[in-house]
Amino acid sequence: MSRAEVLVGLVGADATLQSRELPDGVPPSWRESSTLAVVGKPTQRIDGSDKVTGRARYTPDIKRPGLLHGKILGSPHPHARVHGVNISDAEAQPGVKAVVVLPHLLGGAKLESEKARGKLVPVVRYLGQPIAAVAAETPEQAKAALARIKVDFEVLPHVVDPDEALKPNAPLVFSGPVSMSGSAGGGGAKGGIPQKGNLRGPKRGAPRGKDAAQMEQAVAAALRSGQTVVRGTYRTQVQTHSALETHGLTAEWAGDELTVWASTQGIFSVRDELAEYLEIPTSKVRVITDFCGGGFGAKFGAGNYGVLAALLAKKAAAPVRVCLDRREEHLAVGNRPASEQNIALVSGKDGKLAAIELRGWGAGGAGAGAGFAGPANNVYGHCPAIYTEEFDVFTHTGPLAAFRAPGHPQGAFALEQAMDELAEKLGIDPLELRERNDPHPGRRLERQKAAELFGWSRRTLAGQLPPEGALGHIRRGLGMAQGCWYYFWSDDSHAEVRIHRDGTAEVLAGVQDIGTGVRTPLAQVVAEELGIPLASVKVSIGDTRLPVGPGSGGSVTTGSITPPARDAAYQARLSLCKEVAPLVGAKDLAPGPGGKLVGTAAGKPIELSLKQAAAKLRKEQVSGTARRKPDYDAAATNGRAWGQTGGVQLAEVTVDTLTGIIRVERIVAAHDCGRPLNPLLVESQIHGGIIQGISYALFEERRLDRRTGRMLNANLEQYKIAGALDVPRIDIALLEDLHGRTSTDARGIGEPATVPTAAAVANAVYNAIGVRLRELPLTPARVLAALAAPATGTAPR
Amino acid sequence: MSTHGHDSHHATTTSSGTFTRPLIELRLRVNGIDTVCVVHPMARLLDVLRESLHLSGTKEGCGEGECGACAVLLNGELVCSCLVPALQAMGTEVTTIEGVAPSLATLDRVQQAFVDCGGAQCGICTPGMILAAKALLTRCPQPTEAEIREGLAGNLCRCTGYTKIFSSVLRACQADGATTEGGER
Amino acid sequence: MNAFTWVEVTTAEQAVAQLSAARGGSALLKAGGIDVLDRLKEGLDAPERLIVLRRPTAGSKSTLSEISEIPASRLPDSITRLLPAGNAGDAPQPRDCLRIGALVTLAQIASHPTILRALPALAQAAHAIATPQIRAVATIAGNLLQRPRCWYFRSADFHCRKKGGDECFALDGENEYHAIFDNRTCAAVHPSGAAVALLVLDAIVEIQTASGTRQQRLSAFFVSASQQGGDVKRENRLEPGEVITHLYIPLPSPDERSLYLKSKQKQSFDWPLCEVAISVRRAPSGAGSLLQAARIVVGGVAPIPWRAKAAEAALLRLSKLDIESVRAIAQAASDGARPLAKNGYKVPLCQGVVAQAVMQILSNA
Repeated sequence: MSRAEVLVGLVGADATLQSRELPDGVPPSWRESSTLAVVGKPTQRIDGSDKVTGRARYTPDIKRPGLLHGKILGSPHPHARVHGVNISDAEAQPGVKAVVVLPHLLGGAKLESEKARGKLVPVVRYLGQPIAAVAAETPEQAKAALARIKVDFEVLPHVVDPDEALKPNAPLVFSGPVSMSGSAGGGGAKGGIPQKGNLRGPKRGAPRGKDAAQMEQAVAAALRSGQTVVRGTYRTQVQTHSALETHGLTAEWAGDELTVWASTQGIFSVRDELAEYLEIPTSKVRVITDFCGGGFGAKFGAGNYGVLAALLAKKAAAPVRVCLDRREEHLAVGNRPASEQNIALVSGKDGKLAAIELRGWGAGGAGAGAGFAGPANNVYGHCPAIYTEEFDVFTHTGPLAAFRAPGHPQGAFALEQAMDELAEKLGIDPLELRERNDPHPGRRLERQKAAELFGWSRRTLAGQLPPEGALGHIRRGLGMAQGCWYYFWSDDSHAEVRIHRDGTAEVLAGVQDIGTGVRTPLAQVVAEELGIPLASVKVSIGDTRLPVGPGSGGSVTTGSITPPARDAAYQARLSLCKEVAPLVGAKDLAPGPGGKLVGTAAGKPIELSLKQAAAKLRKEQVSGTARRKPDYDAAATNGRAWGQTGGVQLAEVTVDTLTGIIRVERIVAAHDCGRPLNPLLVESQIHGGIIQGISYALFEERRLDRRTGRMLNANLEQYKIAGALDVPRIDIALLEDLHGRTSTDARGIGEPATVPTAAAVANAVYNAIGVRLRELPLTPARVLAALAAPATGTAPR
Repeated sequence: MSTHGHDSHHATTTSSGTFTRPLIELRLRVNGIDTVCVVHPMARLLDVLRESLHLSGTKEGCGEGECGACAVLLNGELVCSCLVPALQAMGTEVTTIEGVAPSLATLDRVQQAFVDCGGAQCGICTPGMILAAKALLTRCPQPTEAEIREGLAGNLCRCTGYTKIFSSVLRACQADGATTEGGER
Repeated sequence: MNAFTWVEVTTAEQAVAQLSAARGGSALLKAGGIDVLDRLKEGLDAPERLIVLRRPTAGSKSTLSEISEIPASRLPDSITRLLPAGNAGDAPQPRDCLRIGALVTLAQIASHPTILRALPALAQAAHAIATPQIRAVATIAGNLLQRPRCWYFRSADFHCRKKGGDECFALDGENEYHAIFDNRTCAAVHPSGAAVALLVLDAIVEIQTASGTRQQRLSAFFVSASQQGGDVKRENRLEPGEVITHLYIPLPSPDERSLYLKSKQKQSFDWPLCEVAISVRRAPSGAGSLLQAARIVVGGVAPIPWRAKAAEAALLRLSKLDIESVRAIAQAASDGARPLAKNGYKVPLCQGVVAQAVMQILSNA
């Protein structure tokens, strides 16, 4: 341990040098990025040319000799009991090499009693639930053979609509108490929560460090206090992840060793799940992910498809690829759950929040933990009374999975619209109302920067901008919303850096690129530390044979893996010093600024570049390894600094009041993510988060036929995803927010970017038309219905 | 499935109700190289490219012509290769992402612009996007941003937010052909 | 997909011959194949033979993939007699026509100079369809003949009336995107945007039959289940074994205008919630009304492209352009609508799109 000065705060605003206790073995802290050579500069992806030439190999591109094609038999019924599965006819079909029945189901909530048994789950709880699988020489043969698997179903009554599921005589999804394990992307639901019918809960919540029971009472008192109260009921829809690359995995056995190529966000979680499921040693499973075409939270673990691929490959004694089709992708591998949220805000006339109460349910199908209370508990966490209750409503539909900032876009949609309504009721500008209640320094500066970029002063009260269009039918509106995410990181993050004699370097880390481009910031921090060009750093990731790294979820990757990468580079420099010192006669040779090695030889100062020093090596390489260190100033932070990532977005929309069509014309987004290591990639993440948010706000919705439980839009035609013509002008203000907690000070941006978007759009729509839409998506049907019934202000469902 | 053939190709159905699979010899020119492969007549061009010809740069996103990830140029026209049966491709000229760069060492200017501007993020939509951009620039060498959006409207991207894709295409047509290697289109 | 034989043909005559049941087994015609492949994959169609009508090779004399202007003097009588009369009750007037071959792609139509100049409604409609990739392949005849996009019809899981079943699942199901007119037998809406435009342009369709060719007005081509001769399993009067060969569209006089508007939830690749085509002919100055002819066809609201006759009549009475009058005309566009549980919004939407179309065409006229 040693004390050192580190730069802390918002660069260009309140950043100051502070004294921190640094752990041993870490390099000196970087100052603001403008003083650095590589880090903090917009930098092209180092694997860009692989991606633009088609050379980058994704899971479905992996070819193995004798590769077989696996297809999965999913249940055609949303609710049924399986009395038996006969595969013998299927096994006899042409080209078929193996048929297996899924031993037990992964994903979703589990009955406590089922978990104890750990055997075949005989109950189908959602349409598309995997039951068995076939491997054949061609995909067509595999598909044809699926029809020959005979499943003895006892079809049971189902319920797929949460409102129906809450009715007294609704068919039960689970016959007893359940729990659900989370993934590296978050989520999960602990046991021990009351459950009645299809309703499970409440999970009682309050801000960090506060007691929920006390808060409940405080909120009740505030509601009785006679201050201004705003209440509203908000509903959000089911959104499917719809990564453009579907889930998939290729499995190949060599003796008792299994190698898989997986489309995943977590190579180690895939490895561990396969080892556990197949009851083989972890060391015998290798997972490789060179590139992954998006995951958004749904691609942790091996999945049922992965287990089936491994079982088929074992039985067929040949490599097997199972890649889901678009329909399976929509049905069976996760979604963002629906919600109904009843929110109440209590405020004094001065606009100081006195209480926030949020109660409601989330509906994640046959999964639990569909909460949404994050924003309510955290964005205005200084509010003296905050209490939340979250319930799960079970339906016979595919279980939820973590989805980019789980719960937060839903929560922000309710909270931030309620804030907007409160602002109007109090006659306070919405931005000013946030100013009075949210001291988060990042968001404070973000509000200011975003408002300037956007021209927030143009905003008028709802419906008061002049109508546009030949018929005066186009109304323009401006709205804002803000969000939060958290400073999460995994200390099980390791990196190795090797310096070769030619002055090039390698960094090895067991992380995976889910599209965010983690190779590039890894190369940047190592190049910066070593003082060598980016092109001299080779990055190896995506293989469980590399040092263990975090799963890419919860926006943890950058904040977890770049500090050990830099620390390992520093360690490698120390080794280099040690090796070279005697050769240059400088016993005190040590790392200096700009990657140089400095010391004194024969009484004179000497300075060697890394390349010069490496050239003197008498061995092939030197290397350094490092694990993610606890946050600096361990005494003050307990090794884990708590922190919120902010995010403020301002939206400008037009609403065609004749057709109900909403166009988002502009978004200004101000965000913080610690030290942005590569603004080009950070911006791209923000763009992507915003477009997913707009798509969620306006278009996306899983549509089910209630009678049959079937999904009607299990494609990319009627499941509507924003395309090129739906993109607004986007301007970004990116803060450099230094915390002085690690050697890179980086934090993730993937999740914060999508949290406030739908709420900002909804507030802008209200500002345009003067009628509040409280249910997502904001479809023309809802806009027109709301305009036809302005008195109620609530769109029918 | 069986199929095929004008008077010369016929499906053969066996007595048991299954069928034999008369494969066809598909001749087409892919990325400037005359190619022959033996495939199932209703195989999708996408599968022919990916599985038979090992050109896995062409991606599958939806299999129904909705996402554009499988876009290729067929006789110069931008098409979804998942909607083209192999027989339909007989005798055609196909350009895939692997055929866009003028050489292994150089990138086409659209590709270079995607690298420079961050137009590729996860990269799954990128091959289709680049071919859509190529088709657009052939038709309309100096597109406005609105025309770029129209030209790319058949290609879904789930992660970049499109903005950097638009700037990539704008950059590609600003690139000075005289100084950009592989600027032909 | 079932097993079938692939048969390639390059002329309509060959196609008709191959489609004839006498050649053995059921047959389905494919050109661009966008819709046909979709149906084959889902198992909605299971032909024994797929008759593939390929584009004629360069140098052939076929007109199936051509767009050409035919002067009135060279127009066949069979077409001339179906042209609209100058005034009600008059004999049809010979007019110069544009002939579009059945295999012409939507991309060709959307960029053809004559169509852009003289028949903007058609160019706009063609351009608004699907995506560049689809428009490069999809043919005009295929667009007219594609089957509805109703998600119950499109899923093999639902044996609906259109497939010979005995119920329409949309009536009590998820019917947000369904018909508000003529929707009690089958609530699917007609999917063709080009049809909406072609109908206001008085297009004539030419059809190859086993015995020769026949011609009919496109306005008589589409038929819903409730209309005379209607069959819920079909959307038009193309008989089995027949093949569309050409469309003839009278070229407008200088006082005629047309336009097409599409209202879609998403601006990139989406089906219309509602679409409208309108054509008008200005009245000579001094006449009491602004227009002497008007046609309004609305899509996305009925099992066939829907002629808004009450709105047309109101439009013809219009004597001066103002917002109130336009709104009144638009109100008439939804006369007779009977929305279902979830598509009531299509009533104001239909009115709104018509109002915008009327305003726009009269402002530019």
